[in-house]
Amino acid sequence: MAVQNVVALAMLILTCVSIWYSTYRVSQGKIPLIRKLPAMDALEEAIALCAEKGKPAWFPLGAAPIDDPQGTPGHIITLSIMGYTTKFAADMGVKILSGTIRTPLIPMLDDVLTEAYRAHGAPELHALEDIRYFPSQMAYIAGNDTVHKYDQPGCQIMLGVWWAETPAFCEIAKRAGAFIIGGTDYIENVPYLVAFSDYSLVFEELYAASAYVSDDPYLKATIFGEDLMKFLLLALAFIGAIAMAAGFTDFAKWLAM
Amino acid sequence: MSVLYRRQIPLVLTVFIVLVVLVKIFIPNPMATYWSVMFQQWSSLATGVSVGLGVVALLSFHVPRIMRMENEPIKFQWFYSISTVAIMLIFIVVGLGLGSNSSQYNWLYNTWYAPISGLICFVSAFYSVTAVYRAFKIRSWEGAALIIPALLIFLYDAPIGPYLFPPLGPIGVYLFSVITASAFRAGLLSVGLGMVFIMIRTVIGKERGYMYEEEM
Repeated sequence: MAVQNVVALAMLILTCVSIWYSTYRVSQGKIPLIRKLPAMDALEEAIALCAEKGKPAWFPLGAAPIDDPQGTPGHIITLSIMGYTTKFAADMGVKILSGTIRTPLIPMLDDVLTEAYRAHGAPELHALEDIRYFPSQMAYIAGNDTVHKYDQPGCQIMLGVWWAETPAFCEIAKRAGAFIIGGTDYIENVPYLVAFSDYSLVFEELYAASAYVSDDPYLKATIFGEDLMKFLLLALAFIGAIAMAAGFTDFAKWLAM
Repeated sequence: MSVLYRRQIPLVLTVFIVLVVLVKIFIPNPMATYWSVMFQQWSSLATGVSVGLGVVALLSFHVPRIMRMENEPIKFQWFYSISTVAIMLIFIVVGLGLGSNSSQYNWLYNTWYAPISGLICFVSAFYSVTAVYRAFKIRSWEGAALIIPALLIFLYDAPIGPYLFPPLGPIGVYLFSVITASAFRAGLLSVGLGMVFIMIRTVIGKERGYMYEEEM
């Protein structure tokens, strides 16, 4: 096995160990605290705003495909948060409209919305036609304009991996006066969402969001494990900087995939 | 049965496929490679099948409006719905009948789709400009810290900037190669780590939001 693969395997094992250690701490009664994520607390506010105005909520998914290395975790988290948001929507009688350009996500979206509405006693609030399918990224931008013009959603929740459609989506929503909650792990578009959104999540906050809204202490514990790994990576970066300055370039090669 | 069908089977499949792919990466062997390739083909097949669902979703929105000759939310909505469905059917018929590489399909694509797509792409450039305008309002010291380097980069990128004010060259290079690069790498690192943790949480069955559960 190449040195890079050995290092990658070692990092994967260390990651698993950090998760095991963090969940072990929970079994010892040490539940980690996650700092406030205002964007997640604002989900209820966004749905309440829709209920007040008698408007639907617009929860489109990012354009990344589900089989993309970044798209998969992004969509998994977004679907988790959509389920959580639907709880409020069902309680307040708000319809959630969603949209995607990726057909494999349609059954997943339909499943999450159907089950979440049914679980909270409002199955009549969801139908397949509430999931809008747009065949391309540019059609998605035009479709977003149409949704804001005719369905007039009270809020737009943009979480996940957002690509080039981000500025157009944000600007259209802002002009329509919608309350925006945004969050992406796609680094190039983070500034757009921060500039436009009323509340935003940046970088890995998105990945912590599903643990934040969950009641499962073991899921929250994994965030502690992630922080442990961050310290390890910081140490490696520091050692790497010294090694490179000392002319030991192999260190960087070992860590590169 | 429902729990088994909705949660356990997808979870077992997810874990199994992830393990096969991991074995293929870290302990390469013909069996793992074969199954890994096989799963990728299944993924392509599932994506192909799901396109049908996209068509169903589109039709479930437009067909009722056509049947009711609906004028809501806009006048002649039924006509727009007919045109959407008709264009979709034309593309499907030509694509399936003559192939997506045929000259007829290419003509349809280049004549109908490409200009509209290009137009929307162009319009979204204006959205980016207004986004910058919204972002470029100094409301706090942090805002000023964002805007001053951004203006320097603007001037650095404009050919006339370094010509009129030569120190902009090294300032721009410094901002790009030191400040931006370090922030970018920190973000990249944290996102990468977050992705790994999400995947592990999914594999061990802790992250189950993609198959909604009431007790979540």
